[in-house]
Amino acid sequence: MSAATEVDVVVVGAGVAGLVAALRARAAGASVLVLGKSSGASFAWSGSVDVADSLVGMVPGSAVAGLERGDAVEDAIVQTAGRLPRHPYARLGAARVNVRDALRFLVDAVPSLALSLRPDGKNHVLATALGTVKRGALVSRSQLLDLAELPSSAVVGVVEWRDLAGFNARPVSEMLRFCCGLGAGHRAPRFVDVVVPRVNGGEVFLDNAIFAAALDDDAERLRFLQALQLRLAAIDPAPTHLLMPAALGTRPLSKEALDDVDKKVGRPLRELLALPPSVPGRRLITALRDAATAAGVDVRDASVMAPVIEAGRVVSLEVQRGPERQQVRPRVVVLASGRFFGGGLVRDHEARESLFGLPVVVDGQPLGDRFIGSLTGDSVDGDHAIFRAGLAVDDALAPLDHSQRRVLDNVVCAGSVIGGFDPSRDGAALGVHVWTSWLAGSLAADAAKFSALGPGGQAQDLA
Amino acid sequence: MAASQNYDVIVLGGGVNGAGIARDCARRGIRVLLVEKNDLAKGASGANTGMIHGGIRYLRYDVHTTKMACTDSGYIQRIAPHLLFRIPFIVPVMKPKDAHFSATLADHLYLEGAEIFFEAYDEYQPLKRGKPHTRLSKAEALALEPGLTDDILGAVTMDEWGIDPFRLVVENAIDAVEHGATVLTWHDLVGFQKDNKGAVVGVDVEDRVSGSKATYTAGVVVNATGAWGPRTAALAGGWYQLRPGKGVHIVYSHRISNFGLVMTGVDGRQMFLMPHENGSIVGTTDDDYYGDLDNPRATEDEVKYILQAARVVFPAIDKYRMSRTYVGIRPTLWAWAKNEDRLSREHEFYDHAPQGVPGLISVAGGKLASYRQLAEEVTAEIAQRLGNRVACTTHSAPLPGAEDAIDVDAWTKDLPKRHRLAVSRMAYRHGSRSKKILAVVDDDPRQVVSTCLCEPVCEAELRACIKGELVRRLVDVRRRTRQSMGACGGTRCLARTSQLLLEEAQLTPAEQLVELQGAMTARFTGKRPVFEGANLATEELNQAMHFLGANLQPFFQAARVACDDVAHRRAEAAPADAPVTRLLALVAPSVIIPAPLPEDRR
Repeated sequence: MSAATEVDVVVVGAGVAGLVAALRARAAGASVLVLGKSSGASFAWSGSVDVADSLVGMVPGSAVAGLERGDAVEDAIVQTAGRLPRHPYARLGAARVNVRDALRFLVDAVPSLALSLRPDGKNHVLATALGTVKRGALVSRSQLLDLAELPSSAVVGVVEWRDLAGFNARPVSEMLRFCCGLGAGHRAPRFVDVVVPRVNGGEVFLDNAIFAAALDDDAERLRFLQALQLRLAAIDPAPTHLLMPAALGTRPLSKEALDDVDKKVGRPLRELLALPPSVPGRRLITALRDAATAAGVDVRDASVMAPVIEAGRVVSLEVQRGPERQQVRPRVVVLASGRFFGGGLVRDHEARESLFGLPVVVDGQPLGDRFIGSLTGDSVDGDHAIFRAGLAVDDALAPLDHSQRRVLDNVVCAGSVIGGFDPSRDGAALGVHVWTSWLAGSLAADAAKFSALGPGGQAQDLA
Repeated sequence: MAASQNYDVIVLGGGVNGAGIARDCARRGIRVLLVEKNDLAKGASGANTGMIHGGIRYLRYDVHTTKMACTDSGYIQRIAPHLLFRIPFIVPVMKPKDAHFSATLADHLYLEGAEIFFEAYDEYQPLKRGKPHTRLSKAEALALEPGLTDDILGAVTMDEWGIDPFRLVVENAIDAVEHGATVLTWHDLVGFQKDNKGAVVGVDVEDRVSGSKATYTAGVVVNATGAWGPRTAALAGGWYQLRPGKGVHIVYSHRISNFGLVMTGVDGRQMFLMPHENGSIVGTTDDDYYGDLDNPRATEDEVKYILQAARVVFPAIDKYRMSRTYVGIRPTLWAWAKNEDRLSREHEFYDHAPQGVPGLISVAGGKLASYRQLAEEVTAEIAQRLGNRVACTTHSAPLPGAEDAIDVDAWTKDLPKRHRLAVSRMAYRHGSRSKKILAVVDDDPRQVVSTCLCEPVCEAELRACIKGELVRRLVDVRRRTRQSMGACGGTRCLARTSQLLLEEAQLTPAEQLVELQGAMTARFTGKRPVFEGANLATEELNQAMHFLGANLQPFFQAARVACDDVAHRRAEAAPADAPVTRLLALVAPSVIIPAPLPEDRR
């Protein structure tokens, strides 16, 4: 076994939360090691960074119009905190002012995605792959087509490629017509189907990810765009804008490349928000990993196990990658391991946090071995407490036990491993992850500096 | 004005018995109408162990059932060979434990005893082309099934047949339609038509999707509504009793054992752990059920009861991924002071004429493996009443898809490897009719790609089922194709299939959303009791995909409002003297409420 490595900050989890925390800690001068088995829930990322939504829970058509965008995001954050007292926005109220900084940090960390906020501070209104609409604060350049901003004369073409399996334009355009037409106050754009005949012979592309990989090739992309342009000539009314599945290359398109796409087809061609397996999610994770590596963060695909805890501090972790095992001695651990999908939490008869066995809390109560019937609603879209479950944390994002006492002094939590919010229902999802991770990275770097000065930071025999 | 049409016979209930009776009637030239308030195979006919087994369990106290099941199982193999698959079982003979643990088969018949017992069963095996038993030493048993506990004396093999019970029902119904029957699914029975002597002469039904009402008349009405049977009969003034039993199964996402295993519950009941289709199923429970027949739910404690038993014979069970549960209510024959497990699985028919309700026959009891026999007996009675002398052919005439043999390997050899499994699964379900389904791929190669990746099911099969297999709702599709029944439980395929329904069944977007919500909730209900490990992780993804990524929650609600509006407008537009149209009840299941008995009832 090789000698143990000493690192200021070990980040457990290589999803968006882990990488943002790592970048932030690194920016504050810490040495950082990221360990993760997967890229977490980015697999399912639509492409929209949901920060807060003042209209969440309202039924389009009755309470609001389908295309309404709601209050400014910063106001919606305050409303969220008022509505959901256990939400991190409420529990970490003092740190809420940093949300804007955290988002700016993300935008700057991944310039290739060109994530943008609206100048008026409100949410974008975007089309999803199923033809529903969704509000989101930040969206990347290739997915930015704000439906609520289109003139009433706009005609949006939904592009179906007969080379791509699993996507037909008609159900999406009909759904967009239904969703955008709900309620008064907005004139919805028109939607038309643009079905592009086969470009390739033989087999079709099985899903968006495979199609996107083909479109990475400039010549191949050109062939498909030419076929689209040819088809557009026969579409009446002529579309002013185009939407297609999120498959315009596995890498983010530069501004020039996207301008070129628009020029080839004679109008803006943008991507719908994605369903898993998400190409935008892959772009985001790749960009974050590249940024982290460029900044000097050590990112490894590895499992973490066998933590050694002394006097309430994590003093070492075992890292496994293939057959190799290695000891790591962190000053501070950022726990960004996600919930059930990310692997940060497990429920096998009894629920626990998977690395340290920390207690899991739901709505202020221990989750433990409670029966699932009391943690879930009866319908799939009902209220499910189980999906708000996570760790309870204090102001310094340190995990707490059921008596509200700190369990581990040098652990800082980030992202969805923190409980109290349901990303699928609160109107606040990746925004909370980015914000808590940004905070966690900053807190971890500070704590590592502090611990380097104290007794724990003195050189020790690590063999 | 409500439609009125005449039939010779009306069959109530689209389970295996109702569909079997409709098929037999139609094939004898009897004009038959089948009315089902839900989808075909919605109840116990779809929620069973999926075997046309010989009922060895009944051998000790109900020999006639065993013999009948074995005989009819043989006939089912003849008419639907494409739907059958062999499930060899290992019956472990456990080391003797404390006396109070020795209540069942494997426990109190030790090795010799077990052998004698299986010799008795061997006599019936040829009836269903089953192989006689083999005695296995402990080493042999462990070599064949490494997951087996080593706490055994030895084992005995047993040969049984698995079947897709949904397809069995659907193909019976389709064959009935192809021979002139009418099948109405999603139609509530709202009342009976009676003549002035009190005889049942027809039924009033209401389409649960469109809200339209109709009356149909017939000389005979057969009540084959399973556990709902007594309620159905009560609506006409008839009466009989059942001992409905709740049965829960757990489904694993893949095959976890090579063989079926027989196991014993804490209460001494016999249960199975077995490979079935692409997964494994473990169960079943059998408890008297007094709850809501329309919404039976498996619970986490029932899951624990089953797992506790499975662990004894298959200790590694906890390492595997449960993907869902399902639950059905058996229409078991009534008896007082008998344990659930000892209730007879035989069937009986009740003629309600002595109760003053001539024209109504109720079917009670029965089991999947002997549905055909039951249908033949009922149809013989109907035929006699109608003076029809055509012979029964349901034991020899092939079900749809069984007309010709299909060499799946030869047929699929030119397909890319990744599509072969889905296409061969389609061939299993549709037999010789698969070729026609796959023909669309020549024009649109996208349709060979799997929409449901877990099972898998290709798009061409889904579209063909929506168009040609009596599908009216999204939840119906899975009973034809096993779509959404695999590991992920409908995480990626349901939304896509709802789009196919919009295209092929001309749904509005609002209707599509209401269908999607209903189908997702049906899956959610089955998955909920086993939200553990990877299954809970998948549900978290499912939630994020649909409610975060696709923002469906507010639009589900908007769609429900929109559909209600349509129903309102339809009702308002109806002329004043038209029958009152009920609002669309697309989501909430309806309950048949027994009509008050008339004052002058004899």
